[in-house]
This record gives sequence, C-alpha cells and structure tokens, in this order.
Amino acid sequence: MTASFRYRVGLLVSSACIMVVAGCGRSNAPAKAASGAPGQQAAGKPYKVALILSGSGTDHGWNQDAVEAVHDVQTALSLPASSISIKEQAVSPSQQQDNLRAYAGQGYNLIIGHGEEYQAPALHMAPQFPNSLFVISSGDKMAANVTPIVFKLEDGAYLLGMLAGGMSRTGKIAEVGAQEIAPVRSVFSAFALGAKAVNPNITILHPVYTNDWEDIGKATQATQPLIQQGADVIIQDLDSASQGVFNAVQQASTAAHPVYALGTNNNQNSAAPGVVLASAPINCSPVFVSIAKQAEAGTFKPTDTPYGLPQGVIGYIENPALASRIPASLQARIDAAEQAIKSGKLVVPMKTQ
Amino acid sequence: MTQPDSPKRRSVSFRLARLLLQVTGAALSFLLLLAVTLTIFGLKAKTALPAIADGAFGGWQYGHLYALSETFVEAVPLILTGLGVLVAWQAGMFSIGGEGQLLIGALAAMTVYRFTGSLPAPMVTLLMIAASVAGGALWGGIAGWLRTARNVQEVISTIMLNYIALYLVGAAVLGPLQEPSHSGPETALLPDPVLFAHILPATWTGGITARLHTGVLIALAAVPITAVWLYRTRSGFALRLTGHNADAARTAGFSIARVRITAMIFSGALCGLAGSVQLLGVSARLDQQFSPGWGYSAIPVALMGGLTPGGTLLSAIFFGALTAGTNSAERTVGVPSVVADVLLAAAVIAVVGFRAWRGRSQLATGGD
Repeated sequence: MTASFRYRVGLLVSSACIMVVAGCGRSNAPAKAASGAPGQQAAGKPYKVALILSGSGTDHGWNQDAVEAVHDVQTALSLPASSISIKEQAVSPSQQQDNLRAYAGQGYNLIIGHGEEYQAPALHMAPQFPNSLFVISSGDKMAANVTPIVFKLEDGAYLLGMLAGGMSRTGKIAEVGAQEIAPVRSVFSAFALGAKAVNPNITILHPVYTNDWEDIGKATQATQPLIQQGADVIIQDLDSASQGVFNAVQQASTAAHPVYALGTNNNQNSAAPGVVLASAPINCSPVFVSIAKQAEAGTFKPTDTPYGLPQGVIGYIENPALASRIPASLQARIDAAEQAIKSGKLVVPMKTQ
Repeated sequence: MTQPDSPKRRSVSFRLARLLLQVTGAALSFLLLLAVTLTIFGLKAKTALPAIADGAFGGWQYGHLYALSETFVEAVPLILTGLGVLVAWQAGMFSIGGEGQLLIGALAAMTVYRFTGSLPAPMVTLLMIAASVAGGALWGGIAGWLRTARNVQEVISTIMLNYIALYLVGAAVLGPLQEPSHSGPETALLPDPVLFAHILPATWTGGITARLHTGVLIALAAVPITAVWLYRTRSGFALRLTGHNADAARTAGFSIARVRITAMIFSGALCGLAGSVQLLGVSARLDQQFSPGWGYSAIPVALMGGLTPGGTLLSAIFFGALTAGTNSAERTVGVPSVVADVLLAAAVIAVVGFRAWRGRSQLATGGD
C-alpha cells in the first residue's frame, strides 16, 4: 500500500461516514396519550419533584432560593426526602436537556427548570412526557404540560427606583447589569420609571453591563466610573457578582457624601449593611408550593400570569440599619405606591422586548 | 507499532500476566480512590458506588442500553478532542487550545446554519460539519503559525485563543445569532431534521429515547484514521519524529515549521469537529456555557491514553462512563457530579506519577 493510497482511503472513509451521518436527520418521537392531568399524582406511585439548577444551590441568590422553595414543597405536600431530587450545576445546554429528559423518563411528576434556558428544550420534549409538568422559572411560553413562572421583579424595581430618586443628592443614579437581556432591561426600565415618579429631573446614567454573573472584580470596575460620574444610588442585577458593586460603593461612600447601592433577586441588605438601602427579593416558595399543590390534585392549568408584589413572590425590604436616613415624606410615598401595587391600582409595565 | 526488541525480552505469558496484574491493580486502586473521595464528600460508598455503576452501565434503575448510551454520549466529545490533543502533543506542540477550537467549530457551524437554514436538511448538516472543521483548523493553525513564524509559545497562545473564542461566542449569542425573542443569551434550538439521528429505537430502552446519536460513528471512525496517519504514513512519521527530536527531524530533511503547523491544523480540525458533533448531537443550541470543558478534559484523557489513539479511545470511554455515572448518581442518591472532575484529576496524577516512577526504575535496571 502506498502512502497516497492510504490518504485516499482515509479521505473516502471519513467522507462516507460523515455523509451517512448527515443524511439521517432526527425524528421527534410521537406524542403519547396522557393519563390524567400533567403533573398529577398517579395512583399507587410516589409523588416526585425535581429541580434543575444551572448554578450552585448555595449561591445565596437565585438558586439557593429555589432549593429552599423545593424543600417547602416537600413539607407542604408531606413528601419523603426520596421524592425530591435536585440537580445542581447543569451549566451547559447538553446537561440541561439531559437532566430534563432523565427526570421525565424516570416519571417525575413536577420538573422545575430554574431559568429561561430550560424553556425551549422543555417545550420541545414535553409532548413525549405528557404526564410530567414542566415548570420554567422566568419563562414566558405555555403548552399543555409546560408552565412558565413569570417573576415580576419590576414591581420591586419600581419601588427601589422611587427610593433612589428620592435619596439621590447629586440627581444622578446608575444601573449595573450582567447581561443585556430582556429581563434585566425590563427591571432597569421599571427602576427608571420609579425614580422619575419621585424626581422628574433625575438623570439615569446609561446602564453598564459586565457580561459576567460571577466576576466580582469586573462588577467593581464597572461601578467605579459611574460613581466618578456622580451617581450616588446604584441598582444592580448581577446575582453572585453583586458584591463587587457593594465593594465599590463601600469604598466611595463617606459621611459627607454617602453613596448607596440597592439589592435585587435576594435580600442583600446584610451583604453590605452600611450602603445597601433596600432590596427587592424574589421568593419562589409561594409559587412553587401553589403549583405543586394544584398539580398534585390534577387541577393545575398552565398560566403566564406574572407573580409580583401582590402574590408575595416579589418583596420590597428596606435595610433597618439605614431606614432612619429615609425622609418621612419619601417613605410615605413609597408605602403608598407599595399598597397601590398590591391592590392592583398601580400596574408597573413590563418591557418584554 | 511493533516494539523494538529489547535486550531482555520476556515470554508472552509473563507479559500477559504482568499486564493483567497491572490492570487489576489499577482498577482496584481506582475503586479505592473513588470510595475515599465519596467518603470525603460525606456519602456512603455502599450506596453511591452502585448508583454510579448504574448510571454508567445500567442494571438497576436504568436498562443496560440506556446507561451505555449515556456513557458513549459523554465519551464522544472526549474521543474527538482527545485525538486532537494527542496529535498536537505528539508533534511536540503542547496545545491547551482544544476548548477554543471546539467553541469556534460550534460557532462556525451555527453561523453557517444561520445563512443556509433553508437548504435541504442533510445539506445543511454537511455544511455545518465542514464549517466546524474549517473553523477549528483555522484556530489551531493560528497557534501553529504564531509558534513557527513568531516563536510565540503555543501554551500561551492557545489559552489566549480559548478566551477569544469564548467571548466571540458570547458576543454572537447576544447579537447576530441570538434567539428570535432576544430574551436569553443563547441561540434558538436547531430543528430536528438537521440534528444527528438517535441510533437506538425507543422500544429497546424502555420507551424513552436514548441520546446516543450518529455522531458516535464519526468519533469512532476518527480513531483508526488518526492512527493510520500517525503510524503508517510519511507525514505521520515526520510528526512523531519532530515531537521526539526536532533536530533529528530537521536533519532528516523534514520542515519542522510545516510539520508543526500541520499538526496544529489537524488537531484544531478534530476539536472543531467535536464542536459541531456536540451541537448537532446533544446540545442543539449554542451559548457561552456550551462546553463544560470538553477541550480541557481532553488533555488528561489523552495523557491517560498514553497519547495513542487506541488508548485515548479507551480512556475517553472510561471518563464517559464516570461522567454518566456521577451525573445519574446525583439525581438518584445525591452524589455531587464534581466527583467525576476530582477523579479525573486524581487519575491523571496517578498515571503520570506511575510513568515517572517506572521510567526511573527502568533507567536504574537498564531495560523493560
């Protein structure tokens, strides 16, 4: 055999192989008929709940809240520990899809994908698993057995905006986000709306994005120039990296010229008690428990109604250590707005695009 | 591939017995290591070990075929990137760039899909595979050119190129390739006809489609092709010679620069191919977290495989089984899936340490 012959054979074998592989497309398995409502308790079988997280379950934020909420579901439905399964660090799309499929295949009744990234794969595979209910945190689309949970963080962001507008001495406030994606943009626009409701002349600096949910250093570097430009109240939507904003604010804040930060997604008031004025936390527990109870009974219908301040899923918590600095008149306006949102008199718009 | 006759050649049965002893010893010490690691994580080895074995080979909660399918699905990217690494390393190019080449491969494939999505599905798939190979080859070739023309160490340049690739993907999925609703930092899911077919009929695996896809054929075909190239062709010989002793290769009339660039291009092509195989086989979408580090795991996989194609195939399947096993054991009994990473690292240290120790004892006794 000559070398060039071997090259030709190698080329032939590899191209033939690739041609064959490319020639067979995938066919989606046909839908099965459902027995009962999606997520309903099957007779004689244990009720099983799964939670899939794209990060660590101990992140003091988005994921940890979901872990605690799933344990509340366990208590509320009096399930044994073996009925609850939590998959952490499903970072890549392949892991996310693998876990959705594996749980559904093992007959889990309720499968919670904690993040918008689970939506498209869940919608795609849901018809194959009609007895499982797929719950997508921060999703926005529905199917027979797929339901989104629309968190209306905007409710909390609006109140934070009012607080920022009232507390700023320089008349400049700023926003730091991790990624310029629709949910973050929407939170920032609600924040701006709240600020303008209190101070129509307030300047909101152009939002800065760090492209990193984890990197504290990048968050600090992004915040410092904003403070130098005169911003003295800063909101962030950064998850684990938010400590970076707090660090920068702590360094810059003095008694003569106080600079404040605001917390989102979690109660971050204790993360930097000297500078975090208030937080708008997400609390998954009421919505997880409510969906699980209805699903178990077979009465749950997928819904895209947002869960906000009125449902107790979004909160607004002022930092008790700094509460004395908030003027009574401003506090009264914020309290009134909170009540108006809760009663439905004031509806904060959600910017979906 | 025949060994040169050493002065003290032992009988076949002696060598066979020794090999068996080594394999059994390795397997036992691995199990011990696994049990110790699990205990450190606060888990009972008695429940965790069967759960891991179940996820990798089946027989308890899973059928054998379903679990083996998972093992091979996890092994496929490691086989391709592992081959990529061994080609570069055998040429003396210590490339760390598998991850970046893989990402560029996936990005190139996704970009091609964006422009050719309306063509017939097999054609689109073919073009996507071709684009990934070309993209990976380019990314590897850059590092090779930097080394030969500018004497930039490939260890540095490939790591830097990994970051460029990662951030290019990040920019693409927030820009031109973002899914239509523009809410998440990711592309839309690829449609089914474009993706690789699932091999096993659902009825064989308890009614649930197993993920094993036709990409495994590409990975398995790449092993003998790489082996033939390295050990049965002139350019493969030049590559290995350059890696062993560049001066000897130069004296023998080979162009070192050409060999190195070729090695990096081939290595990049394999890793880029892994990118499209993963995209079309399992992920169906691209985002910045597309790869959980396949391109980096490839290095220990290739080292464990002794930098040979056959060995790399076996060690990729071994780590595929470990990954599939721990993934499943996390769902069933709560074993953290990072155990697989800990063991991967521990196994590499063990193998490298064993080699070094054997190398010294061989020097001391003067033979095999």
